[in-house]
Amino acid sequence: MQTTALVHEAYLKLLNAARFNDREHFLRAAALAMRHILINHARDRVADKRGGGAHHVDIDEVSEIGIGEPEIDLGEAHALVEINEALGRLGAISPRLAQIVECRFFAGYTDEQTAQALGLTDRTVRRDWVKARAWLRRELSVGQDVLDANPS
Amino acid sequence: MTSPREWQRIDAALDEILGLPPAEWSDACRRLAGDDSALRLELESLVAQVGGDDPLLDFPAAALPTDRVYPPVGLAPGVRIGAYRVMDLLGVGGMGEVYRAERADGQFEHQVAIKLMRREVGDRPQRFHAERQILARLEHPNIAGLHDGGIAEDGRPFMVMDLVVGQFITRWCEEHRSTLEQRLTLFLAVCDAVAYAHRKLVIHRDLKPSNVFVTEDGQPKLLDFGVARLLDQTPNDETRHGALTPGYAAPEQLTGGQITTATDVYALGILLFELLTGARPWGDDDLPLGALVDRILDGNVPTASKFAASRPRSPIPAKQLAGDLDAIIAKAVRKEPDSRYASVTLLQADLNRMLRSEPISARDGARLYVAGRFVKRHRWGVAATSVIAAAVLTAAVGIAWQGHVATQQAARALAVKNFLVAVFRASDPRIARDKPRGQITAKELLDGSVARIDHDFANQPELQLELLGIAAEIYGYLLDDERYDALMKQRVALARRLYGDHHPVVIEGVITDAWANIYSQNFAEAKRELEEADALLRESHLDQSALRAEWWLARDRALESTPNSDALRRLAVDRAIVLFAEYDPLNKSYPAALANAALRRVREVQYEEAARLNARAIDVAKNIPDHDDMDLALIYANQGSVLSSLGKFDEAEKLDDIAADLVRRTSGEHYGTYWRVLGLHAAMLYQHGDRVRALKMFTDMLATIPADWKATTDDTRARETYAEYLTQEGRAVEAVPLLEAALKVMTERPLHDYDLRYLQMLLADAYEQIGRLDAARSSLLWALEDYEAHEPRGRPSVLEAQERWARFLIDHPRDPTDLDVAAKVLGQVLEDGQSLSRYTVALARAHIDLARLALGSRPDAALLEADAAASALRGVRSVHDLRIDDDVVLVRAEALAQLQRLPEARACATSALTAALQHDGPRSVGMRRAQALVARLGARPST
Repeated sequence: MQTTALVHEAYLKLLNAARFNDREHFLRAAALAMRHILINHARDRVADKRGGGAHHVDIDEVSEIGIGEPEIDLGEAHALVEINEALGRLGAISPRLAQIVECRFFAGYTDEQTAQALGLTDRTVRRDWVKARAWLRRELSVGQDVLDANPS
Repeated sequence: MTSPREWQRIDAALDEILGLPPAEWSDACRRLAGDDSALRLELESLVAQVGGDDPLLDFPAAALPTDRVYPPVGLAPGVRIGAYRVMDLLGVGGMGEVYRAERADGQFEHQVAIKLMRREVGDRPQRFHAERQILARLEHPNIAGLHDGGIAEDGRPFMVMDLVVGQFITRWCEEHRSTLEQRLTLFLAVCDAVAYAHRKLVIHRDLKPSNVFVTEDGQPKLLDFGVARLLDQTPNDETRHGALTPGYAAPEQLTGGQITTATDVYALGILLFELLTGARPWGDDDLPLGALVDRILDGNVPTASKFAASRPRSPIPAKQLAGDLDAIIAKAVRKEPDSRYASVTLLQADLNRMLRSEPISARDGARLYVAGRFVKRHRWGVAATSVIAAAVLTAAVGIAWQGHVATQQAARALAVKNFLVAVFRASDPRIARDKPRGQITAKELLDGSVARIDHDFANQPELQLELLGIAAEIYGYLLDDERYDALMKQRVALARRLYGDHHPVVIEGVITDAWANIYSQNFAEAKRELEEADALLRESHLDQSALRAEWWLARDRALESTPNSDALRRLAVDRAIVLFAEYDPLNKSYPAALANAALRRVREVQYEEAARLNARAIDVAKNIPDHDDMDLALIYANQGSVLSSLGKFDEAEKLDDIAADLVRRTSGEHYGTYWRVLGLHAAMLYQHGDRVRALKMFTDMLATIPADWKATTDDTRARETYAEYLTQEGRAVEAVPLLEAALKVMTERPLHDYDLRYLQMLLADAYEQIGRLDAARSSLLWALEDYEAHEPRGRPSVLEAQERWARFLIDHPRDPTDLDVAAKVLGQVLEDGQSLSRYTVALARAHIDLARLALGSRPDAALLEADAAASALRGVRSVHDLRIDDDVVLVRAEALAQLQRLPEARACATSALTAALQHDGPRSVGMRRAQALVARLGARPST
């Protein structure tokens, strides 16, 4: 089962379930939805819920034989979860910056789309993104330093 | 941890710093922080992170591969699925895995493709099989055939399909360096397949290049028809969308709008775009999902030629795309489904015209005319028991059959328009010249023009069919039933001659005939015709269609005379609802189906469910742009009755008012249904105790019936209700002639089997009052036997008939055993009516009767029964005649008197009289009894 397909489906289901007053509302809600879905998915991968592959198929007497050696690199999944947590902390300090991250990073909106979703100017979005990105990078690298300093 | 306020300082400082060139940042941090070393540290550490590349944050999150390898642990070669043996894995998609397989028993040489689907699909095996059967019927050279399917042992469903060896259409064209003409030819073949499927009422929903293969010999083959729907497991049928490929999704698939054939048209437009320009319109393929969805909903598909011009390796020169192709694509991918090509065949037509260098339709903005509906001739009856109004809404005689949109629709539209204009231009010499223009009736104009249809359009049979239908519709509006019938018959005959029996127009004609027989109560004949229509529907593969829904509606009605058919009728009407919801939610008969389903529930005393269905019917009706106000009015009236049964008097009144208003507005006051609805409302008012308003409403209603009105069922029923009221008021002398007249009309033209027996009950009441006891007795007995024969035991109507009979025996015993019989019947009523006691006063009345039986010999028992009656009455939920309360009090008074508890007796009698003075007619039975009792007891009425 392809990840992207699942993400698509979940996303579309979420969209379909809601009704939007206007484009801004839609964009904001969609960005939030994206964040939820991606993080849930990443968490699932990390927690090994999905296991090492797709469904095992028991058909007739033949037992399941994998077609490929499952090889999962969870690095990025972990990273997403971390980013999400950092974002939570950022949101406590500056909700607007967190929203910008949601739009630009999680939903992948352009500056213009982000500006539209949040009711800001393009310029503000660009400026704020620089700040938010800097904050996140610092936040994420701090952890890294600590890790390096204390090899387990 | 920084606080939000602290952050604001930092934020402001950053703004200033970042506005400077990077070389000055370090100094700026120092300067702005001053002696706040913590702040300086903060600023410096943040500024240090600006710029540079970040592999994570600089790319959209969704682009991160959160699992690098995610292989399906699928089936190994040699595994058996059903009758097949898996050979190897062909691919993995969003819906499942596809394997190549061969027959395990080696019977046939050829190989197949097996698509093994996700487990959840197997959770609803019935639906899976139903869908599979629909898809299996798609037989077209350009559609990959579906052969078999089932659920594997682990619960995963699978489908066995033609193995298609080839390439995606886009890749194929690229590799073969196809020219514009070649690409268009392929595309037109794809359109053929889609149009075919649409005629079979299957929408693909997921058209994209990877679903369109081209085989080695250049034949396009479509895959995965309708499978997208199968995979969407949303339980609510109406909101299933299943768009799995956002890049090709139409706006309505993303926003939860209705999926129609226009959705496929959109996908075809995008496909055409890609086929001709070499790329998808939405820019890069790895656009993040949110952005992509936003573009689809809000952005515009770029002009194909301009897009091609901007790309270095466009397969077709932009020059060839400019003009017609631009317009065609643009029209196919409009955001509003209604603005696109109404059908795939129209898209094909434009492309063909373009290839032949004829003018195309995409370029004019005219909205194409959609085939009009054939109006229903309504023969509705609003039948009544005293509380419940049951309106029968007939099926639509005309149906918009989606699959039969002819290719020359534009030409047709024009011809139709011209015809209609000609009708009213009255330029036909056959119309009487001696009459001045203004005096010619619409009918005469129409008559003249209709005569020309056969002749003028002899070579265009589809057009003839259309025009005949429209003319019939107009006659319908002019209330010329004869001409309507004649034209509809002519239309059916024509369709039959041209297309044989399996044309929807013909089948629809058979169903119409069945309706006609139903109305004349020729149920046997109607059933036969429905059987005929049934076979035709199946043979024409129209089992899943709005036409089949119409059939079910007729079937429900045709079962009217069949005893014990409630379950079957319910099934029929529920099927109709499902089909309408699925295939034609804008069908005018859809609300009728819902309302009739409500009726079924009413008959089974499931009022809550009935109320829900009626509410839904109202919503659905309002949603239909050209909905029938008369139908809506009847639904409102019915809902009023249902709410009345649920005890919601005020709401019921409101709906009654709306109903009457609607009827008046649509058909004016001189219309039977109007009086009928008013009559019911008045009756409800009377029950509620409001004599004065009820009387006024009745008199107003009667006043609007013109003196020379030919008695029809509707005004007859209105008068019947009035007669019932008169009897209650003690004016049975006036009621009897009305009821007898009604009996005559009803016997000739009954609408429902329960009409007559109810009428007989009313007659019995009236006869009894004027002293014609024999007539009363025989009417009552007839009614009772009819009720018991046709309705299940324990139904309120049966209970009420039985109680009434017992009451009559008590009041006018002919035989000493009559009283015993009465007691037995009453006992039965009490027993049978336990479960439905909320909805009928029969039990309360039975207790009163038993009390009266006990008076004289056992007054204490009588008192107990009176108390039981009061208690039973309290439990009745429906709006009921509150004079029954007075009867309880009266019988109580009598019992108390016999027990020599005179003060209490007097108090009861007085209160009964007071109540009677408020809401009983001066000569009514209730009034007289109260007065007599008060006099006997020597009580004095208060005020």
